[in-house]
Amino acid sequence: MTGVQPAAGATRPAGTTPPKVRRGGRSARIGAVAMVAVVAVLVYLPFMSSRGTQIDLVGLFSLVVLGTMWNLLAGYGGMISIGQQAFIGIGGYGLVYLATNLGLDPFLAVPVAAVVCGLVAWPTSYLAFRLTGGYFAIGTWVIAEVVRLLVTQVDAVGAGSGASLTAFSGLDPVFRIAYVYWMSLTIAVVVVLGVYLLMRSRTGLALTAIRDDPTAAASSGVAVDRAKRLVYVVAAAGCGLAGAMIVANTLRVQPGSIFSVDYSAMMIFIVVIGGIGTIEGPLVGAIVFYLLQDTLAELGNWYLVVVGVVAVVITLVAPKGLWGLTRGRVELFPVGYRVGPRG
Amino acid sequence: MAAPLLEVAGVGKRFGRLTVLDDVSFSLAPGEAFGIVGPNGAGKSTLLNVVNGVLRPDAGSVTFDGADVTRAGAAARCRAGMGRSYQIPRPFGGMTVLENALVAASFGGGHSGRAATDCAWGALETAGLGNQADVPAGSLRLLDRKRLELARALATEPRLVLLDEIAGGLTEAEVPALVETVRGLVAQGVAVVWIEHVVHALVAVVTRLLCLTYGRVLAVGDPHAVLADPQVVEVYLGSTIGGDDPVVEAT
Repeated sequence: MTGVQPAAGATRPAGTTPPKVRRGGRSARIGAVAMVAVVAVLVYLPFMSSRGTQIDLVGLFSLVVLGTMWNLLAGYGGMISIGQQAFIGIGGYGLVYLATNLGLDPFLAVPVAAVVCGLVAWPTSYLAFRLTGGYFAIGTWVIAEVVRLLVTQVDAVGAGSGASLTAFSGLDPVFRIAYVYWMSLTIAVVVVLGVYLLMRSRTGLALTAIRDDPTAAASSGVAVDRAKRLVYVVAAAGCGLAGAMIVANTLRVQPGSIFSVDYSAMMIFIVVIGGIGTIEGPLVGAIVFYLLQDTLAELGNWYLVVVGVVAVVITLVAPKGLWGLTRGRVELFPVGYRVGPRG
Repeated sequence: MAAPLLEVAGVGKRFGRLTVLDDVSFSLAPGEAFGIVGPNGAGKSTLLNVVNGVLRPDAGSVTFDGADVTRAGAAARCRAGMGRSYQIPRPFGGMTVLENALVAASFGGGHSGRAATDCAWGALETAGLGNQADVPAGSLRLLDRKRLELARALATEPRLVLLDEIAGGLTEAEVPALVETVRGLVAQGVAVVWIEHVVHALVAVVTRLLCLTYGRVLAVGDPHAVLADPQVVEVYLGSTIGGDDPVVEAT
């Protein structure tokens, strides 16, 4: 046996003063300032950019929300879901139904639709949590398909052919697009900030432990099922917000596209490319995916081939994602606990 | 005699057609140090899993501190004061050593803020990991992983701690320090159930010993009397009888 240290208990005097614990460094402060600046520019953007740019950016914001939510599920909660499109769809359809059929203000209908997603997710979790690992993943997809098939039976939202969001019709397109842009920016900021604060809290500590070893977490006093259920419900509500954003942006919802498993593939790509288990990762991944989508749009089917090659190359070169290349030296959103310098 | 802290009554556990535990009963007074020995595959770790709630027994009951916890989960039992270390370490690999202990202090110990970090730090010091607090737990070597198991169990501030072969793999020179650590726990009034193959370490701490074989209690009582029991010698120490095992010689 090599390099066996003597038991430190024998050499170290017991009861030394506990050190101070730090929860962030200089990079986090610089990062916070940079984030505020970026958000400030984005808030001002509608005054100096075309409507097309704003519509495109709403797409980016929805990718940020989707990636952040999938990361919360898989990267922190340890739940690999390929069925989040269930909640994207309920969010999108929820907006149309609440605004068009019930006459609710569309900007109020968006958060209400997200709450509906959470309410649907809560009982669904009792079904989904009976499965683990790969079976859980497939189970979530089955649930999403069931939701899609149920929605296509509802004539009030256009059954199989979908429906249009007409609630904005009284609004000048210039204002409508700017309002939807600001709403989407707000949602993206709230979601990212919310996940950051969640992961800094006690719940975040519990989730990280559950991700690494659920049995050991339970034996350390963590209420595993309750924490996972909370994450599942929050992620459903977040995906519902993204779905509502997408529909508010395109003004059209169709069961085939809003319940498409492509969304799950996108979320996995964004999180894995950016860096799973970090808050920064999905932001990086969303930007990369958005740029790829934007620049490769005219390639047609080759676009998917290129995206696949990018995914393979990045996982080979940077197995922990692009943000993993910083090796934890840069933390814009520090959630961990570090022992400070001992005085 | 004080009311027992832990009472295991008629516990049975089967995995398919294999009976792993069969009518196992024992009880533990508050602050008592209790040892469990037995050959590999005797069901020792399964017994700890039933006691701390990772597994549900098929028969029998587990009572902790006067409450029937047979149907309670591991987390509830931990919060009630039952700490546990695993034979095969289960570190939270993506978290630092301090964060590992902090999970136990926050949820098992019920602390928050400064109290939680102080509690976690104390457990790391006791387990001898104070100088590795910022190291990712996934990069620890086996011995330090075992220390982390102990630290996490201690950070829950247990009244009963279940130790599963924490001396396994230690060098002869390291065992006395570990024995002192466990003795220190007992001195603080923490009850201990300790599974160990390093019998001399066990005998140095425990006041009662149980020998488990094929899922049954073969003998229970005074450690030296149990180790001298001819049946125990045959099934457990059989290969070393007449050898240089200090415990056998001492009896």
